[in-house]
Amino acid sequence: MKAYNEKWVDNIENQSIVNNWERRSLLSAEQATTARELLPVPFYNPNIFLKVGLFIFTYIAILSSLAFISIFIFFDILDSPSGFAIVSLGYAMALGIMLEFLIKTKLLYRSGTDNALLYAMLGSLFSFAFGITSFELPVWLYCLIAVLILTPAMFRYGDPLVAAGILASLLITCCILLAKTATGRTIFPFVMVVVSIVIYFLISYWQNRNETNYYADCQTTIKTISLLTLYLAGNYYVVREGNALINDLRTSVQIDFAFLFYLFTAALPLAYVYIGLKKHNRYFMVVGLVATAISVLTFLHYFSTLLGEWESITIGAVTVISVVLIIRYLKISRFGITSKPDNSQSPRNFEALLISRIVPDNARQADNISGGDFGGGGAGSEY
Amino acid sequence: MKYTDITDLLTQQEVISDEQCNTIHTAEATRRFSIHWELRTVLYLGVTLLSSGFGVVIYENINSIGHTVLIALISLVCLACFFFAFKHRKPFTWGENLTTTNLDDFALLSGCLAFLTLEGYLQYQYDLFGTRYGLAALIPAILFFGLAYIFDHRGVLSMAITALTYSIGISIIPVKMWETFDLESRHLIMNALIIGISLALTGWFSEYKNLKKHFLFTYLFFGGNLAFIAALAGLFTLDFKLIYLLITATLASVFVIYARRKQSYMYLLMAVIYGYIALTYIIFHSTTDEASFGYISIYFMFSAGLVTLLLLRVKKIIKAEKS
Repeated sequence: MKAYNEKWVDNIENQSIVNNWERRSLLSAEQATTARELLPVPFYNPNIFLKVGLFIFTYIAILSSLAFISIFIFFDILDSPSGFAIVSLGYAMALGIMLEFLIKTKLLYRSGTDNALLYAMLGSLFSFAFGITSFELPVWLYCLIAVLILTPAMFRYGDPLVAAGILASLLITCCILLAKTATGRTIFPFVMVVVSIVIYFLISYWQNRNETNYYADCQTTIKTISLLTLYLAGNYYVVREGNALINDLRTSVQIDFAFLFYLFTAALPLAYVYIGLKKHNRYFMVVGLVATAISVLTFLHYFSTLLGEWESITIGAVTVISVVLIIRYLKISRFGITSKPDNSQSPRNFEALLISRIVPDNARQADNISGGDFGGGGAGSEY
Repeated sequence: MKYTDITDLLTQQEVISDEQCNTIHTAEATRRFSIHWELRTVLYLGVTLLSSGFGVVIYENINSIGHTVLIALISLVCLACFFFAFKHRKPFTWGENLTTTNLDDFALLSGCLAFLTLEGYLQYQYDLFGTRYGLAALIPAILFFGLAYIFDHRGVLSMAITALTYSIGISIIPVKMWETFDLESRHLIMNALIIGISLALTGWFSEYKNLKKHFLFTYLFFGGNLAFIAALAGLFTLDFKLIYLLITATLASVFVIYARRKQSYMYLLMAVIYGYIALTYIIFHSTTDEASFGYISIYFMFSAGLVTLLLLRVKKIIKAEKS
């Protein structure tokens, strides 16, 4: 039932372990080459830039083909919902057959083209669901339909984006249903906390039972997102403003159990970072750092009397000083943690691109002294 | 599969000895968890917050704190940062300094930021460069190029390139780059083309002569994108479209050839995307009638399909070149 060769998918991870050992000089170059031959990956799994290119051009080709066929062949049928449904189903089947054919013959694995075909096929199936129900069902039912469409696709193709889609649809369904009743609105955050925890442990259980690496990316994606939703569900800002939003209040008011949420907002990020460091789990660590930043912003939003620029200086100073201290402290590794780079490949070239964003443009904004226009810092996603 | 399965397989196939297998097991069991990149990212965030906060404070209090005090303060920070960086610098080499230590390159970076603040302040308060804004941007560019080579720092190099393009009035930051060409100015487009191509050539030269050849990526990325976008802007907005089409085509061919030689798909992707945009524009520009929907969709259908097939085969093409 899996679309890609499971053994080869496993070997992708195995080869990266072998490469890592080679870099750490645990294996000689010849040994690593032999090991890679013993763990073959015959997939066409190109480098990231090619994937981006393949994805873009495959998508253009799919969209223009569908547009052409729709206008010149099925134009009259498309008027009615049932006609729309039938045509969509036809597209989905055609795209699905093409996807399977290309995976079999070209040995694609997440190479951009198969991703584009998969998403287009799922989109067509979803249009089919829209058409056959005449666009009349409530939103949460369409979310459940999305879960029904996406789940088999996840088990067959193991695509992390599809997994994220399933989780998002489930959570949106929960939100809509809870917001319908008064009780639901009161217990909203608690339910979301419980749902996130349950999903996390279900996926962990699945991960432990499952020997294969086929779903590893799906599992990590869902676990990471559920860690984030767990935090957000208990975050004071989200709960307070969300409460105002679903109760149609113009200004947000103090919420019940406020103390509990203060505690949650303050403690959970630290707990994530602690667990991440303790268990050497990078996902916990990174989610924890992001959550810490959100928590700081939350508390500043409600309690700070400082001006924006002084807030920025204070946080900046505290951050720089503490990070510098940590780096010095961890120069010798303690508790199995080190501040020295792992000898895996470093993203230096991309780091340089990010740095270029912090140069203020004096020539173009001659009347504006430098500062002010620093490009947001941190993680830019467009590279 | 766990790593023990791999070592079992390798021992069984007699690729590694039992002894080496044990070494690997010990190494994996005692492996350190490196939080190097996380710390680095947070440090960037801190430095950015700090310097942008100070920028605003200085701007708002420019009349209440004495100018001399402020200038002295910023200069002091700037000098202190550069001093720290100089004290901890590694011996100069034309190759790559592989040892990464966090603090000295951050001191260098902070020093550069402080220098920019200082210069901006002087310009704002004392009109140091008058209306010669280009000169105001050229000075940090020259300084940063020097520092980038001395300290072997790609980040400072990219700051230098950015400052250099500001000096001719172009924002090179990818998201902003397109906006600057709204002016439809031939002069600006020509400047951008010249700078872009020279940057790319500098990159090629440093690789060819083995002088800091790891700077190649930064040079080619910035220079290439600048040149391509300038050529496209010329194609879209100016007369003599043929010239700009030829420039784009030449650039694209050079990048394809380079991608084949370096086996780098980023250059290939740049060539394909910019080339495709230029080709599409020129085809629809030259058809005198309003192109009908049918033609447009057929064009995209076949051209995009063709490019996809090409990209699917490209690995073979590139591999063939190597062997």
